[in-house]
Amino acid sequence: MVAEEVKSVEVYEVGPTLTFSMGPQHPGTGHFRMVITVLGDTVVRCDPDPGFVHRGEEKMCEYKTWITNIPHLERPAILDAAGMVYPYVLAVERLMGVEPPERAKYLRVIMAELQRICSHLYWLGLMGVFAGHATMYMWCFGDREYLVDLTQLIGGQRITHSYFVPGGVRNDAPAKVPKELVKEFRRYYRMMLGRDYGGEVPEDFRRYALAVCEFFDTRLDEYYRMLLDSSIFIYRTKGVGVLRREDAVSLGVVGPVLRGSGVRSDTRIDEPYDAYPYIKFNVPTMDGCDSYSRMMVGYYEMKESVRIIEQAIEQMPDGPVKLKQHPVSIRVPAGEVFASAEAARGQCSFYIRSDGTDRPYRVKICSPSFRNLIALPHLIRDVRVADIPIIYWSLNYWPVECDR
Amino acid sequence: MGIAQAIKRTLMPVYSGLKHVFLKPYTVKWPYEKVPNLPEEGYRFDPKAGIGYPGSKGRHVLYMEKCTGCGSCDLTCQNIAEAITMTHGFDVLIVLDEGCYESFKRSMPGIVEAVEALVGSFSAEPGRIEYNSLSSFFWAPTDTRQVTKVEGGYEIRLNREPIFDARAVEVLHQKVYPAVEKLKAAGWELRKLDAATESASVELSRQDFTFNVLVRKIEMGYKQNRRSLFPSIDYGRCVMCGFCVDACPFQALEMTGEFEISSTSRRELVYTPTMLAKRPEDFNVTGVPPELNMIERMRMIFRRLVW
Repeated sequence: MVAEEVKSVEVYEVGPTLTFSMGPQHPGTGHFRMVITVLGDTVVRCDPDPGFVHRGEEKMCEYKTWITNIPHLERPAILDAAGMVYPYVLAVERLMGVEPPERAKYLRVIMAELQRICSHLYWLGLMGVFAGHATMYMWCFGDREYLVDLTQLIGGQRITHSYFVPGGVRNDAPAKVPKELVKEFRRYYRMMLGRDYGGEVPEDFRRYALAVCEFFDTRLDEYYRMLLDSSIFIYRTKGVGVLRREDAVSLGVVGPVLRGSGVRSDTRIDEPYDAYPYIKFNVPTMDGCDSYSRMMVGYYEMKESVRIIEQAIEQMPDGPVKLKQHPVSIRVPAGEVFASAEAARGQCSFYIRSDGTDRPYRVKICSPSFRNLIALPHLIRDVRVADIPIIYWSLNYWPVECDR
Repeated sequence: MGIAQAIKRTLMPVYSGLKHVFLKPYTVKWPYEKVPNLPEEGYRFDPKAGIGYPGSKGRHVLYMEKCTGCGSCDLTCQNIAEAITMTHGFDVLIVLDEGCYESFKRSMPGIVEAVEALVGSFSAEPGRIEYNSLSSFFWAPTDTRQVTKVEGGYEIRLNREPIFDARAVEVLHQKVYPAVEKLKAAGWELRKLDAATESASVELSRQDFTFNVLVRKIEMGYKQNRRSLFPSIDYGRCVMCGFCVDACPFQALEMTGEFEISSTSRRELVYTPTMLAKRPEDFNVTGVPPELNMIERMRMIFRRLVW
């Protein structure tokens, strides 16, 4: 199939071309192949070939019960487990016709935003690697530790926590933070920012989380000076992989890719769910439409996520965090439902049909990476070979999430 | 873009990176150093309130005095990772009648060979390293310490620790049959007597010797768990989601912060109920590990002091 198309390219007298595969052994993130045709150093054509990490998540959902689906649904995007499970949980709740308690809504928002930051840090760090700037990767992963620790304090695990369940969350946030961790954080704070934390770092969970947010916000400014405002990075990414506004809309891309093309679209604002209506935040957009704009949208989103976490922690009411229900076996009435939530890579949607038994009849996942993949052949065209990694990763494409 | 901005954009990254040359490295040399980032408790679930308590989701701890063997955890895990199996503890015994035992005591070559072959297959139990090669010394044919007298004969217990498995036949297949294959070549004949869930036995015979190999369930003696059925967890499969803890109606399962459960063989990752019942002592240790030598120790302590 591919060979024939290459021949047709040759017929149109574009000169001697060369076709090769980029991947499928991990071209950056996950197993994914791009069949690339080049003419000299210019890419003529790019055929993305997903499917190497297809796991049959949708089929698997039909064989597991409503609650036991949660651990495996986290796996497609482990860095963003909350974003992936969020729409599933919302959909099941809508089918059941229940509303989670207020506190659970805020806890979910905190968890989702923490994971959004962690996912974006990975994006930013690897963007540094692809642009030949390995320091960024180390910095991102060093600072990510304290956010992951917060995730672990709340959810018990660093990334795949199985924290959300239909009807709330599985446990409340802890009251106290381990003393040793607080000590370590103070030391790290002093080392990184060159000044002491104002006053004693508290062991109280709320105030500790706020301290971490404040620390991370300051570090983000440093990232801007280090990578995003450096001339090398700007030369590598500005004007590379331009996805015009009207193209972005007609291709149907989502998330930071869409917002990087100047469209203000965010599920958290458009169809607010859980505690997002009570929280004030901006949806950053950039008009550059290029790789730089997309990365900057990701950067500003991290800043906004910090603001969201701070507000959520301050506004969080007391009370129960879960409805009274059986812990592992719930029954969902028959019906069909569609729900979407804003995952780190964009809008993630679930369509679920239930026939009233203890497991779903059909689950359809529409993941953000799959919707952004369509832009790849349009972007990798008439660019240099050296720009391929930059453009590829500026879409924040995650093969496992795409293949499901 | 002015010249000043270009210079700023070139020099500022260098400056912000260069600062870090003069800082202490913040890499943590795990496992020699540990980060105290774990919650102080393990995840547990209160079935009455229907809510979990925050904590680490590491390896489980099983309270055998609470477990009723209902299998709720097994049922839940079958939908997630299939890591939990409900298991009985088994003993593998050689049952000799009076005549055989007398011949065995007098070191008659046929019977001694058979017993030694069976004992040999248990001398190195999987998952454990045999440090003491002398241990086989105690299995010399004249050693009668392992032998208990029962009604109508004598029993030799082959395993040192209980063997946990779902069915007795599996124990027979995995533990006894490899040795029996060797015996068959030496002219022994095998006859199956009983192959049930809770007990299994075979009869081995050659000429005038006939004895039984019996796999027998161990009664643990817990009042609430008369069947002596407990969960074993395969950490090669477990995803640490903690839904088994939620599913347990008796708070018999909890999770701890222990996460360093890697091993060099697949079998060692299967934790038996007795292994699960042991609580990890202190999973949030931050001190210098004891296996380091003096110089490394001093370096680690020095690093800590300087910070």
